[in-house]
Amino acid sequence: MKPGSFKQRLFSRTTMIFLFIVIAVLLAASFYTYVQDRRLETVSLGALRMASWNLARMSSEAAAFDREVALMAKGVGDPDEFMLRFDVLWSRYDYLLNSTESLPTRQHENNLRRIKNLFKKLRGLEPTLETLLNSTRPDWSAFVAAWEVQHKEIQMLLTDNFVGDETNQLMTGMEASRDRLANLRFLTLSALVVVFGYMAFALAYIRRQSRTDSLTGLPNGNYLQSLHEIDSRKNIVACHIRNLGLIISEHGNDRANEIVQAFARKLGKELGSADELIHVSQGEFVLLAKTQNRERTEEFARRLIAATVFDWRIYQTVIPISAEFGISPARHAPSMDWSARHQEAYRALAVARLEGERFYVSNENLETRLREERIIHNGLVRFLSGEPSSLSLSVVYQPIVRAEDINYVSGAEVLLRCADREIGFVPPNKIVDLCERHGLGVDLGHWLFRQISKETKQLFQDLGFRGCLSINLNPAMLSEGLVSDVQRLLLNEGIPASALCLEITEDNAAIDFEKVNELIGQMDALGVNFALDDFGTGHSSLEYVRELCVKRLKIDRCFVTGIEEDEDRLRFLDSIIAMAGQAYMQTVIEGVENRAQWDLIARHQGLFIQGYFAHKPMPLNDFVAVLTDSASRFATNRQFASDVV
Amino acid sequence: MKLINVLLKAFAAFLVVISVEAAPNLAVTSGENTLALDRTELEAFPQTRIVTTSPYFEGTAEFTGPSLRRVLEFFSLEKESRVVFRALNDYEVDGNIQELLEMDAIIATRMDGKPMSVRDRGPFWIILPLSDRPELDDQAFHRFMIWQLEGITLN
Repeated sequence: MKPGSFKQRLFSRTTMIFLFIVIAVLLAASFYTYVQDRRLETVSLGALRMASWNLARMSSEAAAFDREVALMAKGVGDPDEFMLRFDVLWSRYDYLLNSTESLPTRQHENNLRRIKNLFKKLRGLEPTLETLLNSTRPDWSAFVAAWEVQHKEIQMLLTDNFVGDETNQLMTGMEASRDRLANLRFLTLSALVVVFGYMAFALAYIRRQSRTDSLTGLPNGNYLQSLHEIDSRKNIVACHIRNLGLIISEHGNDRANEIVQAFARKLGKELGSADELIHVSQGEFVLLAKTQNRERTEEFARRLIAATVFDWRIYQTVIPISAEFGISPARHAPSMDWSARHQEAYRALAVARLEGERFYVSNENLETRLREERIIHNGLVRFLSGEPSSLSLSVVYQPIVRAEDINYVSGAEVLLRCADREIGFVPPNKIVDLCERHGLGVDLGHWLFRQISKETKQLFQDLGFRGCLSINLNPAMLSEGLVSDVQRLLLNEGIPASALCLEITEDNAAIDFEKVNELIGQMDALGVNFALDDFGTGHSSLEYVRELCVKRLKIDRCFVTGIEEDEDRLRFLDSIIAMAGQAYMQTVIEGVENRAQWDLIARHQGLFIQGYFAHKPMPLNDFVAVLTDSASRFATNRQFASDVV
Repeated sequence: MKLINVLLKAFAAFLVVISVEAAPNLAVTSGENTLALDRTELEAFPQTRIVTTSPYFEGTAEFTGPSLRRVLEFFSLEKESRVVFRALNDYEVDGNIQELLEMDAIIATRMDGKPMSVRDRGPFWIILPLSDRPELDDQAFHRFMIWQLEGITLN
């Protein structure tokens, strides 16, 4: 609906208020006419006859009084008779003005006013009467003159009411009144009918408006809410225009709306006749569509994508527009109800967004995956708050050895392990990822520190171990609380600061470079070192790495794979090692799996190696066994490592 | 102003006195026999009380007076079949005696306990019990409610 369109003006608030006022006025008028008519209703033909007869009687009573006046003026009148006639006339006026019977007389033309007037004049004669009747030689001339005027007036009143046919005059007057009233009522009723009709349309219009998006004219979220079922052979597609917020911030809301309209048009073109496109919010659409021409769901998705990828030109700027799609695919038989399918489409959209894909079609795997994730998440929450849980976390240790001496254990990397009674083993990066997403990162960190300090206490106290424990930090742990956590949970528990090495990845550090560097500085003051994990696989530049004050570098296993077969790879690894050496950092090589790789790496001096060829990750007891093995040597504060019991 | 008020009040009183002391008469005639009844005599009859509305005034009023039947009983009504009522303004209405007697009419001498002046539509008024007998509340019967009654003639 374009603004200012006819329909909008027709059903606008002003029009409606105006019509309400009109109805109110008509209703009031109708009520008034009803009341009036009721009054007139009581006037019957008999009453009309009575009315005309009344005026005639008044005239004759006036004539009788007139005779008495004449007699009195001549001096031969009877005062009693005179007063009697006066009283009779008086009572006639009273009757005409006050009785219900004489209503027709009063209502006809201006009779009421004239009769009232006459009565007033008659009463005006009373004081004079008293004087005249009491005096011995009354002068009646003034009285007579005044009375004559009244008498004439009475006769005129009579004549005026009876020109032509007496009863008919009053009757037609009455009927005309009633006709007018009837017409007015008819008018009122028709107006009411028209207005009710209008109201019905207005209501329908408003209802439709509330379900229509004003920008695109498509059904909106209200319409979506009202859906209760859907053809199972239709796909439900949830889509979301990318970066619309950014576009608004850079180019304004109006431009963004233009883009949304264009997008809606393009998307709309891809629909079949029975398909529906719903505009849920500014950048969000829901499609209910069948695939066409026997295409598969993926092809359908690609078709939608192809139609809705375009560039929008604003003066010199070109904005690429695209969207993400999540699809709940069509099924042959109805298996899920509308809201479940709707939810499924949005889950698919969320996954598409997470994985950076243009679209994602919901399938069994997704559902299973999401179900599993829910189980793991719940298990984690319970585990980390100390409640009984089907899920349990544990730590294992992978010893790090010197390249020159495989038996020299310089330290170990602490790794997370997770097992769930229902699902089995859960990869640690999934745990970390889930924790980050659901805000459990800090709790995980606390648990990790506690667990490490609990388990490794004996290493430091009983064995006198002074090697380096490498602990992986997830992004949530890189906050101001880290320093106090390390102090409280590790250092205060008797873990020496020099034995701690905290590992971060390039990308995690890049999230807030300044803060991380500051943290590294603070930890350095405590004596704790930092290591950069997965070096070479991040998205940052070398200069950046240089700025980061880490003391140790861990080169990712991907640089080690295939060095024994591929000379290029070997050369590449050598150059990375050389570069690390240039930066005066301790270097640990990860992922050494065979003798050949080992020997190639051992050509360099001062390297450390962490890999299956040396040791696999193992629980604490096994680690203690490795350390206490007669062949092993490690950094210690005791003089003779082999003396340890 | 005050003087005029006093004068008017005095005059009103004067009129009331006039109308009462004028001792109005009701002449009931049958053939050659005429019975002149004044207020006192009419009030000597057994009085009937009617409380009714009417087309002449708002609300209800109480009327007392002898019933028409009681007054006419004085006369033997064998030959006579019609009765004519005559008012001070020479208005006349006639009707069938039997019908009239069935209407439970009274010759009212007092309204709300007070004697009626000519201005009050007195001295005598034929009143029908319209409130008690709603079927009488019709134009056809209203015409018998003659006020300023002067005489009754039986034919």
